[in-house]
Amino acid sequence: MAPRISTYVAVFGALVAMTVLELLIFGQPLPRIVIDLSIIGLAGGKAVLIALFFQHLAYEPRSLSSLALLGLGGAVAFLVLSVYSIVGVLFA
Amino acid sequence: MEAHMLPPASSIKRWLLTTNHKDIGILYLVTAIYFLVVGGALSLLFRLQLADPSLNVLPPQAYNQAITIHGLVMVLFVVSPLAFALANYVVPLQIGARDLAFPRLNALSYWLYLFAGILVVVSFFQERTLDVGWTLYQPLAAGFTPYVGVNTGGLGLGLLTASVTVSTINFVVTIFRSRAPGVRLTALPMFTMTILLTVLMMLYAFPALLAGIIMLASDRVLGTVYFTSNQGGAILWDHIFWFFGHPEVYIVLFPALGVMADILVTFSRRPLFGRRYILAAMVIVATLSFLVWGHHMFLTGIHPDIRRAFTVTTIAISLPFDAIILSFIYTLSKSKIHLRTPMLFTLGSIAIFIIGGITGVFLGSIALDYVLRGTYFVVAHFHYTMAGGALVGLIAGVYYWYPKMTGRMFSEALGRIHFVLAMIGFNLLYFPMFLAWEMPRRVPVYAEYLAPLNQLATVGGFIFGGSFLVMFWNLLYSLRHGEPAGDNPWNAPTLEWLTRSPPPPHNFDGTPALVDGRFTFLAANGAGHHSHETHLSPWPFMLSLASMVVLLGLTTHIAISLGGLVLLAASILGFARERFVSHEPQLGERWPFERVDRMKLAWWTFLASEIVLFGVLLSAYIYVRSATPSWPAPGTLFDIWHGAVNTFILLTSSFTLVLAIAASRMGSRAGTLGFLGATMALGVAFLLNKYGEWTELFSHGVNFSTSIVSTSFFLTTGVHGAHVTAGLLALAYLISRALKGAYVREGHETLEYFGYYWHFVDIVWVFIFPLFYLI
Repeated sequence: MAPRISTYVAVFGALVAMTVLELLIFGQPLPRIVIDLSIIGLAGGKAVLIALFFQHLAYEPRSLSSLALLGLGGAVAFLVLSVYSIVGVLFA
Repeated sequence: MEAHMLPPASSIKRWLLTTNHKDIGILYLVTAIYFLVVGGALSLLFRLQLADPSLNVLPPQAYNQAITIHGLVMVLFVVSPLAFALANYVVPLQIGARDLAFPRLNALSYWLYLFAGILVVVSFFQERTLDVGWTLYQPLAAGFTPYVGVNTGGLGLGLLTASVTVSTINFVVTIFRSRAPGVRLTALPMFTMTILLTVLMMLYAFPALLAGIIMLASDRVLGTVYFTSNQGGAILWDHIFWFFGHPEVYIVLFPALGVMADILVTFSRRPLFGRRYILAAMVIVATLSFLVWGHHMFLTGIHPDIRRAFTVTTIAISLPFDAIILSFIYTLSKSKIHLRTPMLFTLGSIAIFIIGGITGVFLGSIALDYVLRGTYFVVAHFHYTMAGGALVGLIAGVYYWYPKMTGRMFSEALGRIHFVLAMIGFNLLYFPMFLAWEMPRRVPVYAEYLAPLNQLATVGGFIFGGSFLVMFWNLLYSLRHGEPAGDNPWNAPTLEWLTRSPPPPHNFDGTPALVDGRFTFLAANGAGHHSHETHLSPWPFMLSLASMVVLLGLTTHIAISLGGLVLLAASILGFARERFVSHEPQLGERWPFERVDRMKLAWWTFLASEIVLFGVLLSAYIYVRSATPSWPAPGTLFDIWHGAVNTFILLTSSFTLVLAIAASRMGSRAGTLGFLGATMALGVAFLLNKYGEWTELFSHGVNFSTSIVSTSFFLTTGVHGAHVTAGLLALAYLISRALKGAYVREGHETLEYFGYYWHFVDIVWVFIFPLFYLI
């Protein structure tokens, strides 16, 4: 099963809007951490939209997403543990 | 010769062109044995050097090369390929399939493995090969070994990861989608189950190695500074390598555990005790294997919290192994054991593995590791587990399935002689190393008082090595002179024993099915045999040869690479255009992918590995950024508008691609071509923008070596750009086919599969843009 063309248009519109929002937030006089987290959050949101609607994962069995999510989990574990291993030491 | 008929086994053409899983298994077996001799010979050379500290058998530089190549060859070119030799031959038989899901990819993975190994061997003859230990620690490997042979060896390792990835995809799809009716996942024989867990671990571990090799090659050739800078350096490499390296040891071990389990069932004549708990334990180990890598880094000065966490996970991973071994022992305790050669090796392997496993628990303790790290205690530990647990276990498998592969029985007497010599030699070789725990590893000289232990080890090494000669003679001689084996000489219960020895090309006469716990055949007289399936293809061999030529030319003469590129392009086209027929079984078990066709599953399996590849690359960027006190503020070094424009370009290209697929579904040729063309144009625009950005940076003196900032930018966006380029080449092929009328109403799935890849490349950029330009 595939989404309707109107769904694709809506998703594309959302992706463009979220990118514009990233650029707008970037230039705001907000705390750096707020800007960074907002931008990363928007990036994550865009990735989810692409995966669900352009790659059609929203219409596929969970087993298929699980393959991808396991890889993502591994990458996140690597990121967290490797960065923590030095950050605490460098800035102790 | 028609492509659906196999030439005789005496024909070289058969072995060059075959895609049959049994042939591929034999090719893997022979090649793995060759590399076993190479790695073994190297070990005997340095064991001679170590027989006495005053000896000068190997000068120090030769010693370093010998131990490095011994380690790399044994881990990557012997034990795992040996496991996959057995897996290739046996897994389709055990699940009731006619072949692997993608026979040509199977042949491709073999030839890539062979040519990768050839690159490593060739590197010996290029002044100096890899000589920094199999772990390639930094900054030694990046900055202090300026020998072209090191590059060639490294490229061989890169080619091997391609082989592994292809093989992984094939086995995942096969085991999930090609099982006979009734063969549910929980009913899989233990060997096939362990192969499934092994390939899943490979799927998520090997991309980390590939990321590391890309970064290392970039440091060595392009002058990037990932591993030679203070912000990256040794610890970054350690994290990347061991994130791969620890799952790798279970990747090496699991197939042997599966072999042992099947053999225990056969020769104890009873079901495996606690089978479901063994399966659960293995799943726990496979998962935890990705969370223990830090125990290789206890002495690197990383945060104490992380060291404590890794100690906990390392001790924890030993617990499911206790369950597995206790289940094995309990299976034996109440049975009448038949001590045939495979069972002897299995029992020996279990005993040896217990010693290795216990010593691993010691090393998991930070306090003990402070004393034992980098000593021969570690060497003994991993040889007891890898050589004793894994290699000896797989030898048991070779003996076990030899009658099925050849139709002949080997000499039981010679098998027992091999066993006795192997056990004596093995323990004489490695046990003294536990006692020599004060001796540092990777050093050719040592204190005089350790000489007796080293001499014992050297003698043991020659006995252990010599025992393999008994095996080789036994198996070779029995090929012609062994007693006919019959279908099931062991009275084993698994499906592979219910067909002839050796099996026919299509494996079974009829469609096997598991009904009420017993195997039966749903159709007789070859009704399950598709005589028009293809079994021969030249393209796996050609593609792999071309890949090797391209890589070899990079370290010899660039003209060779250019010639190789032409051959590679022609081979890829030939592979894509070839009409290769292989059918998926119509009846079968497919859970949990019943609604996912095999190509879709294959593509998503591939993408899962790509997620780890880019995950590691992006994590490395975040890592070095965390380690750098002052990083240029966003917008000061990298032009945000280049990044923003490229973001809009790629997002739009994803949109035009889904519209192309929709047009294809609706039967609109103009729409399909138009939107595919738009996608191509946008992709080219992305690369042109990237090219403009890079040249602008170069003109301002910002290049690969300038700093860790520029290194991480150029490498990450460069790898991404390479993926875009590869995508555009594939898209060009699709457009050429669309121009001839393809993908109109039918065939849109092909565009969809391409779409998975292209959208993934878009997703990666969705993260690259904010990480490199806005934060």
